[in-house]
Amino acid sequence: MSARPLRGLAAWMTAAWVALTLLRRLWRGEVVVLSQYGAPVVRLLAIALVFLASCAEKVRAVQAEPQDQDQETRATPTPAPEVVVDQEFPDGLTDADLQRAYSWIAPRTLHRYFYPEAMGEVAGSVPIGDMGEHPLPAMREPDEEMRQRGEVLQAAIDAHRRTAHLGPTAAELLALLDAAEALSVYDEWFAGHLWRHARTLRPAPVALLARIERHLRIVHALTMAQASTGPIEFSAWRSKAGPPPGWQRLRVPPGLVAAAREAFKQGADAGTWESEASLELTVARGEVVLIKRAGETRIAAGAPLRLRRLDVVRAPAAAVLRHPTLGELALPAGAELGAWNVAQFLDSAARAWVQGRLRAVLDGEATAVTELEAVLPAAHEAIRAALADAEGRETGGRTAALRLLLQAFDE
Amino acid sequence: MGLLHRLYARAAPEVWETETRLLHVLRLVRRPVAVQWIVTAACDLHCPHCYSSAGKRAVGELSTEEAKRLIVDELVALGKPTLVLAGGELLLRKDIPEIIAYAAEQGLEWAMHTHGGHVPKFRSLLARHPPALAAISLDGEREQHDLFRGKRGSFDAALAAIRVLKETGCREVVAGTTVTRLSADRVADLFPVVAASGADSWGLHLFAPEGRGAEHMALFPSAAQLRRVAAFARRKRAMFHVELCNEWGSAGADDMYYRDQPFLCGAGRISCVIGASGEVLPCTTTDLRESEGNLRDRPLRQIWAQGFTRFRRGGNGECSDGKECWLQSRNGNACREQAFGCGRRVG
Repeated sequence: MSARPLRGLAAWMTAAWVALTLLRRLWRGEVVVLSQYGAPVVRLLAIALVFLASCAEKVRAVQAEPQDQDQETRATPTPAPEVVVDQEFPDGLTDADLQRAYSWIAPRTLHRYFYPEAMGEVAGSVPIGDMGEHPLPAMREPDEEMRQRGEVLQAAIDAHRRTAHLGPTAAELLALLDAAEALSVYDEWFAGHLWRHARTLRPAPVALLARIERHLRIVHALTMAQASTGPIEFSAWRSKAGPPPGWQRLRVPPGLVAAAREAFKQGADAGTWESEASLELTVARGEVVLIKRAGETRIAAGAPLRLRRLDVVRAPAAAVLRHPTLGELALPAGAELGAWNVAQFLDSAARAWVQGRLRAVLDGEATAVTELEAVLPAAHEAIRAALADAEGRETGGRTAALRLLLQAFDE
Repeated sequence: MGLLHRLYARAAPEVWETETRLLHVLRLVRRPVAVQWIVTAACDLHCPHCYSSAGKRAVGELSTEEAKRLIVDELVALGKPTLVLAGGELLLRKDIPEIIAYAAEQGLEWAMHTHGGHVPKFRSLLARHPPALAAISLDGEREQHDLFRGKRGSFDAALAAIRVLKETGCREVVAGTTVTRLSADRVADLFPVVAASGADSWGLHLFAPEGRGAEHMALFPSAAQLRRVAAFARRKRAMFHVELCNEWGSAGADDMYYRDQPFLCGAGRISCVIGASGEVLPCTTTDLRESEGNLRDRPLRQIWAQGFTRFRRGGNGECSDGKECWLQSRNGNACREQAFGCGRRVG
């Protein structure tokens, strides 16, 4: 007898034995702890079932899709761009680029090279521009091109340190952003840092704001991608258990960039920069131009307008905006409104309301914190002033809520 | 494996749910990943939020021999899950070096949750048998922490403990902060302290009205505070490894913004808690009505295999939907909806 039929017989007998054992156990009602070999089999089966269910769902969705898909697209006007700014996902970015970048500057650590601004500035306790001298770490075995790019980034940071207290130009901030992105360094704190330093530039640097938004969208897309590829870092909190032996702190999961590119294509926005600290307004009189991602949209009287921190509103002629709580904001002809200077356009009643809410926070009224949170672009200046005023005074920790609010605007 | 991993990660909650149902039908149970043992109820602090009402040593705490035989040996038989030592304050127990050494000899990974005050005294033990993970409580800046913990100097002791643990080779040192109504609006002030402490990550726990916490229900944060702290955690993840811990429940599709892996409630599914006197509980509750049995009466293997059925059925039920934190759900706290708006957007 040849070996082949014997192997077949053995396989059948094994399968029959497994089936009989299982049936016997089910019949007796026994519960068994899964073995280390059985666990992957059950997991595999579960993955297959979920995968098949999702395929069936997709087939049903395709069959139910309406034929005329581009109707909505045709109805939406395309805003004329003021300046052309690249809003695409970086073409050449690869998993290897990210692995190299993270091995050089670990995720969530870029701010350390800008210390102490990163810790103090946003709390209002350290003046912007008061930064320490922390050189970037040395790269591990860089090629010539990488070494040069590293030098460019270090030079841009050094230049930024020298000019930060004078007020950097948009060109300097763009150079810093370019140098970081050339090394595949994408970091949300860094984007916020550039935004904070651009606050005094007039006219508002719309090209820089658009580039900052693109950077934030890439960071957000990379976060979304990790939901499907697995995280870059080990998470300790899942099961109270520690990292397994031999675990590596940083590992860019295969396919991360491809998944991020897809998330970006699907419309990944700027994350909390999209959802937090915005102001819901209505154009009450006149017409304004909203500049978002460097694209202009004219907004006529009666239409709503959402001012995000990355947006700019320009009034070609005198116009009035209305907010349900703050009342009217009168913009003279040629005025430029951004998240940083909303307070400048508030009337005296609105200013008094903000001051009243600030006093209420310091008196311990919890609802006042929420009320200020809803109008952060209008309140952040007053919050900064209140914090400066309270410095050194005993407030029973009530200024802490104001610092938390301020960070929601600054970060 | 790459493709399988991606298929799993893409739909982890669904795979988890399907796997749970499959296991239930086939009368199989997962092996535990972590088993927490409340080593002692003794503690030299008196925190109002303490889930185990710690203070004095409990009546009938497991002896050294029982700990070795009924816990360590059983865990070896259960496939060597991580042994998580908690309290009370575990380092107040005199035989703890002996138990840790025994567990290490048996090849068990161990972790600990401590207030940190006694860590420096155990430097040589920690150097010999470094824990895979150590969580140190840090409830606020110096004044707030000391006030809350009821002992001056406990803040400095916690920071010293983090340093000692890093120096002695602990792979993951986490600072743990319990978010309460008193601390919620102060997390921004705590951030620089945690970031500079040397901890690898920061876990934001959520107050649960269990144990002594049940006597201080007013400590539960308001809905606005929950939302603010969740948003804070999301933002700070750009600068530090911050995680919202399991008490917050699932943020559904938004989980990626608050944690590195999707929320999965492990109570009775991949983890359980052994009380100081040997009761086996699904999670960190001290309510003995939730006990599945006592180690002195039945071996842990048997309790694990036969108990916790309501957590393992799958489907939407009190304990098995896998989206809520079981403890919060048991206490009627709709924190998930408040923190993440889950009722509206995700879920």
